Amino acid sequence: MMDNEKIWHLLILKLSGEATGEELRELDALMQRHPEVALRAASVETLWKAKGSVEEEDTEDLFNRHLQRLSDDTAKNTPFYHSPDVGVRSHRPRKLWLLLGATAVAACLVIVFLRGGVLPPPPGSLASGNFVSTKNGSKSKLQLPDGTQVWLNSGSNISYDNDFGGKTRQVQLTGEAFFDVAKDNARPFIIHTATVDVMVLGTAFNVRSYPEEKVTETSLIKGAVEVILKANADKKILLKPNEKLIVSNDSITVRNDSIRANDTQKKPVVMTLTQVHHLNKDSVASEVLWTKNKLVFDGETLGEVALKLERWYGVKVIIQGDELKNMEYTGVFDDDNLTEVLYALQLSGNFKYVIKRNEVIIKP
Amino acid sequence: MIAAMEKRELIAELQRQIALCDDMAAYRKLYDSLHRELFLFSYSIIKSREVAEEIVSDVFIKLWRIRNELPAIENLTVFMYTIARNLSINHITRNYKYPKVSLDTIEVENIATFDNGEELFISAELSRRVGLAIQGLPSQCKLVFQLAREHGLKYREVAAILNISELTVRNQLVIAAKKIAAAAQLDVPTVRTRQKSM
Repeated sequence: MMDNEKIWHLLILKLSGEATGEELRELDALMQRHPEVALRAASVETLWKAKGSVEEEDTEDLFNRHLQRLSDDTAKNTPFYHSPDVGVRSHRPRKLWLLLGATAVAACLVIVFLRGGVLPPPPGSLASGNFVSTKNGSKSKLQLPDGTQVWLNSGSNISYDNDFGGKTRQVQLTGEAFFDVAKDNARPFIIHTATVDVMVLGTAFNVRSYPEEKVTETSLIKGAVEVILKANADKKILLKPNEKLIVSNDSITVRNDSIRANDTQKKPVVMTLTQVHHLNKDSVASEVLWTKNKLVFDGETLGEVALKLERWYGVKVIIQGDELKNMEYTGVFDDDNLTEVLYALQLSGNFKYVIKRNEVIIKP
Repeated sequence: MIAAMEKRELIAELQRQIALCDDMAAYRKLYDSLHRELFLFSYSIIKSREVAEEIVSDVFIKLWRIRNELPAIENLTVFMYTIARNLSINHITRNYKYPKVSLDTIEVENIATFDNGEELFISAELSRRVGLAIQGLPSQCKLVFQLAREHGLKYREVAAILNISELTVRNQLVIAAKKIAAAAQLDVPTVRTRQKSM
């Protein structure tokens, strides 16, 4: 009777994969001594293991339904900001999340690629004067004394004081840069721009603050950053990965230039929290593609495109005809020259262009 | 058993990737690895496909929200089942106005399968009979059986998820095993002769 109970206990251990070798041997011995229990135990074992095969199911729809809910939940939990569709293109949330999926993968790649030194070795620390600038038409990658990697886009500059790395790590940025900040919890890393200060709590993100543009954008790929508005230092916004904060550089510039037709009846957007954007499934977020030497237009007006072309190729772009300025373009150019880019753009837009030396003239 | 080990390692790896890289692809893989079992577990308690699906979704939403804290979680599988359990019980408390619900008092449904794999000659009749026997077990026993047998969880994992002792887990499994044996007994000669003929 005792043996009987023992067999069941040992059998259960065996079937759950918890039995030790010794227990298995003990079970065998007991079963030999009690064939009548062994018989029943054997049938239990057969049945226990007959779980059938779990067929591979297609979870696509199920997972998409889940992402929709996750997306709704995420939106619900950021009530402080303008909803993502104010002032920027609205995406169907489901699509957005699919893209985000790809993004996250891409973000990982970015990090690996930052850390792994796939790129040629950094050109060393900053030159004397602690000031590095890039002209239009050129980009640069540099390493700060603390090991932080900075990709500096064209027409940008970054500077820091001699006491960098003392109690804090502070840099001043004009233009656009992608940062992979070396971790150092004791010394916060702060980026000052004209419109916002970005306090870095984590690692990889992009700051875009060109004086000639109307907004300052902070896109977080990984980690955490806190953005402090210069206009209102009490406003601190904590960004989560894949979020992008767009802040108007000031109300004057907002009124200027190419405000999109559907935005005109809305009040000027002072601040918008949105998601980083992916142009296709396998790509890195479009906000940081420039670090891979890709020129990206993500639903941008020809006016914005012109500014980018000026910086990227170091040319002057003149648009004749105001209605042209508001046409939107989307595309990724991989190491193409200026002519190729303009040719591709004019295929989809109704404009002609002339390139004279360092000047591009675009006209209807 | 090897498959279960591999799954454990896979889940631990995905846990790392989600925590360190916010890796949405890893998140998707984790969903594929666990959603079905979490669904069945929740369904056993809730007995509504729609609600069970929502609960699984909520478990994964929660996971994404706290992804930065994932490295601190020792056993992600147990963690997720535990959330699923709590959400399921909460749902019942909320919707049926039970002041306090415990898993012993909820009528649990268990869709255990005793299917023929190709090589195991188990008659449809035997399969049905054993299925009914499992269905006739007490609620807690059914859940223990489901987690240990259907989902391949360890004693200590089952114990943690259901908030019972490992000893209870073992005892409940013995009860289930005996029940299966009793249901199978009539059929034993069939099982044997067919096995011999293999």
